[in-house]
Amino acid sequence: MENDKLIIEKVVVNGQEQICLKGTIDEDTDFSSLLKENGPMVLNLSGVTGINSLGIRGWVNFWKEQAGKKVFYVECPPVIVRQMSMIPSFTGTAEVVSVFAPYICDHCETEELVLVRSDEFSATPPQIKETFSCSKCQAGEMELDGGPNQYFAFRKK
Amino acid sequence: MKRSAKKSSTQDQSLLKTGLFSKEEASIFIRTGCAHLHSSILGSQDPTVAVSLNQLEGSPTSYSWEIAQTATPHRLTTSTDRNGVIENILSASSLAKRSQNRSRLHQVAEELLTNAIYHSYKNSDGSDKYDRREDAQLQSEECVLVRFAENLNGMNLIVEDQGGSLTLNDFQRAFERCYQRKNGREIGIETKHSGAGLGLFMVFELSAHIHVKVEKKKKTCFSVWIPDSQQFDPDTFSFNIFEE
Repeated sequence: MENDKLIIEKVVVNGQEQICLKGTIDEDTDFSSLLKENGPMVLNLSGVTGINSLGIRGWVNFWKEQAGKKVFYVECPPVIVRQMSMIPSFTGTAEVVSVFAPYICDHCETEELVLVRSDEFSATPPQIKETFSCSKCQAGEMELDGGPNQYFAFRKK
Repeated sequence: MKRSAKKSSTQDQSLLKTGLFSKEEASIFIRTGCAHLHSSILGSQDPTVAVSLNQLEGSPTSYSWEIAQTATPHRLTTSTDRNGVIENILSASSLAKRSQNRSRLHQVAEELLTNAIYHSYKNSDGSDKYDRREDAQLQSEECVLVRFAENLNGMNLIVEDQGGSLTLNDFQRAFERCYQRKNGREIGIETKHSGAGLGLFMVFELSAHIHVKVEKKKKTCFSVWIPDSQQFDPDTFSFNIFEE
């Protein structure tokens, strides 16, 4: 791969080959290793921790060139979900299979990421847990950090 | 004197757009020349509107959310200072202990600092003095100042460069590229453009209030308010750029 800010590696998850991206995407990121992939690509983005405007530009322009490829995004973290909501072309022709939604305890402020599948976030309204008990303090309720319409705004794109 | 001041106030109100908009709707007004825009359920009665009107009349009033104005600034003299300054701000922030706040603040700070370093200082032909893909060592008179303060409701970040080159037109071009739809499809982000446009767009999207004051060829002061994630209201925001 690429540079020491972003690691791209293949893993097998539940029998499915996925390409995992870990780290930050910026002006130095080289996506060319993804060109070697033939057939549908399952990109696991759970390890992406940050992205800046030049990284977004590189991402958008790279996938624009790969318009014919079938690409799936899985386990998108909040930083990626935010870009998908702000910039429709960020998703391009890829299919978003699952995203992580950030929950926070109203008592101890423990944070937890909850995986939401496409059939759940595509529903109107999104079929997500409104609240659940905090497993850490057991005194508070975990609730989505931010509004669901705002967080899942990428659905409209 | 009072009569002329009243006339001036009336005239200035026409320069200021108030109402309830989406960010995308606001971008259309900005793209067509609006330099002062307030979206609020209170409309023209929003307290920030009065501050904008006062500023248009030359009174040096501040927005209530600009709580970082008296904070001790961090100083950037190289592009490699950026991450250190951002980490210092994040580690000192209580709100940034929450990942959503941290992530948004980090993204806004990175874009503002990068723009301040790489797009504020120009060569005589108007091109950027420093190449974004290379490390930049600023001259002593080019030092970028960063101020930060927060309260329970959100965070104020102020980035000041000594270039004074930002204009309303920069925002207009950025929004033109990032909001415009063509034949029902989003246009791509063209490689020939520098990254400054997308950065401005992201700051606009992630911030609730933006106040930019430009002394042409001298200084740009870019102040933003990032609300706490649990208080983020997408319909309440303001955009004001004063170019002198």
